[in-house]
Amino acid sequence: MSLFKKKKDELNYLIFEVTRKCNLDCQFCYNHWKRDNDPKAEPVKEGYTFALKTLKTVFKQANPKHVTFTGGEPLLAERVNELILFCRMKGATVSVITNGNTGSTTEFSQLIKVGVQLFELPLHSYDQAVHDRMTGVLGSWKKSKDRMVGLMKFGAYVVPVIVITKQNFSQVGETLELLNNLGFQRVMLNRYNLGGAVLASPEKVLPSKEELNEAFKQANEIAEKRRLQLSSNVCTPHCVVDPNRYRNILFSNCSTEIRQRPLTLTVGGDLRFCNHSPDVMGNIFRETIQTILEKSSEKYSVVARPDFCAGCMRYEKCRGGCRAAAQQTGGSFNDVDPLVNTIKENEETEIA
Amino acid sequence: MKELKKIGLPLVFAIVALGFCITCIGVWVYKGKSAKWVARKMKLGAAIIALTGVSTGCPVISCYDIEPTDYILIDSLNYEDYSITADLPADSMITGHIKNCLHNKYGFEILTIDSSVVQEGSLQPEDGNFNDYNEKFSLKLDPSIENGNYVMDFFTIDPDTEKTGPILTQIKLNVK
Repeated sequence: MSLFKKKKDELNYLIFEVTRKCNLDCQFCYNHWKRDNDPKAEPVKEGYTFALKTLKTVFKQANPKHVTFTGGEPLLAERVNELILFCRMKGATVSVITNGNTGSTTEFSQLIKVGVQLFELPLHSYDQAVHDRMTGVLGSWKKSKDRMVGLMKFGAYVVPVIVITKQNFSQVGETLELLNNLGFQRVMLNRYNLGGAVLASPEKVLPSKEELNEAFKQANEIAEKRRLQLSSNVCTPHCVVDPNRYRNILFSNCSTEIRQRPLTLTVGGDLRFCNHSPDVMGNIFRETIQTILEKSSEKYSVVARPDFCAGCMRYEKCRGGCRAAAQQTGGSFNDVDPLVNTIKENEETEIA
Repeated sequence: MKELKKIGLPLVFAIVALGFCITCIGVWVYKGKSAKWVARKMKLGAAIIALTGVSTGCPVISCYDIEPTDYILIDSLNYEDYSITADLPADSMITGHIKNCLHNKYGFEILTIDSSVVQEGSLQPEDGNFNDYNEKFSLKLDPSIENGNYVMDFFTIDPDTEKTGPILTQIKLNVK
């Protein structure tokens, strides 16, 4: 019998971009389709029928252990709860990245009941005005804060996320204190990653090396004082932010193994290396996931050392930061994270 | 009682599964626009998940990169070349901590350049157990290790089988 049974590909982790729709207008939105003149920004297939067909194809070809629903804003996707139920009934664990500004209490309660293990919601500042400015929508701070507190009361596991930009870097400490006072112990601290809508004028959003380090310094101190569990989930060049200086924060780095990556799937079936990368590795309706990963594993193995990193002792851990950000800014996967330009700019200023 | 459970559970499951199929038809008829039918489908779906014991699993913290687990940090590590220097016997105690600790036993191995094992042992949790998110640990280097350069590997150990897991961290050890 097993002779006729196709062996499914084992996948650890899959990010499902269930919709491109969003009700916020975040300054720091990294989604590649927000870039000006993005050739991939044409209208895409959306809706429950397409999304279900894609998920069915995924589970036919592979056994994803975990699926993260994101977007856009996933709760704006048509019948998203039923899509999540489908994944749960297929045995995958599910988490949801939402901005907390949509969805009813009933909908969230249904998601908790079907076992969504984690909700990630943003709170970028203790100051409502700063958060709202960053998200481009008045009142978004209150909605997000109320939703995360409400979810926690319902028994859901919630991890707040702070995106560090030029607007909020100096407030990270106070924001963490507020989150801790609200009852949160575990927080994600993600520095703004170059890409998306702001590529034309990143100086409005991108913090300098000093500003970024100021944010991590504050976070490190608060983490020690309040015993917080902080993680930085955007791989950052160690010459910009040295993890050794911030021992109370857990720093992630891009894995060299393609199956360990946050592989990202669109409703149309396009599979990408990660949610930041604009590069489509293949389409699951034309090739199997296994074929796509096999043919892409060499290209995306993160082993090619960028010229900038030549001779750097930290390279084995750092691996040149986010290569997908290099792709978004017009470079290739073999280029270093464009964030290192903040160092070059500093050096130029010092010389001048 | 056991017999009752044997018959009862599949029977309950069959009824719930049948109910789920009916609600799916209901949702399909209304093209997913009836909140009542969707609510019924979600409720019965949740019941099936509970009955079949589909795990909710450990939370996967991500956004871009997945949060690393069993992340070992050594206090005296020189991050420039990932090495520690030990002047034995004075520096025989090595301390550090493990972040996002998911296992309850960790080990280490000290190897020569040609992979001969010089010392092996387990990490000692400061509070007696590796059961917290952040755990401090210590290990004692064998003071009789000869001067020279070594490789030090850290890994998880299965407490039941004593089988070692993949290497979590590898550093250089310079014994003076």
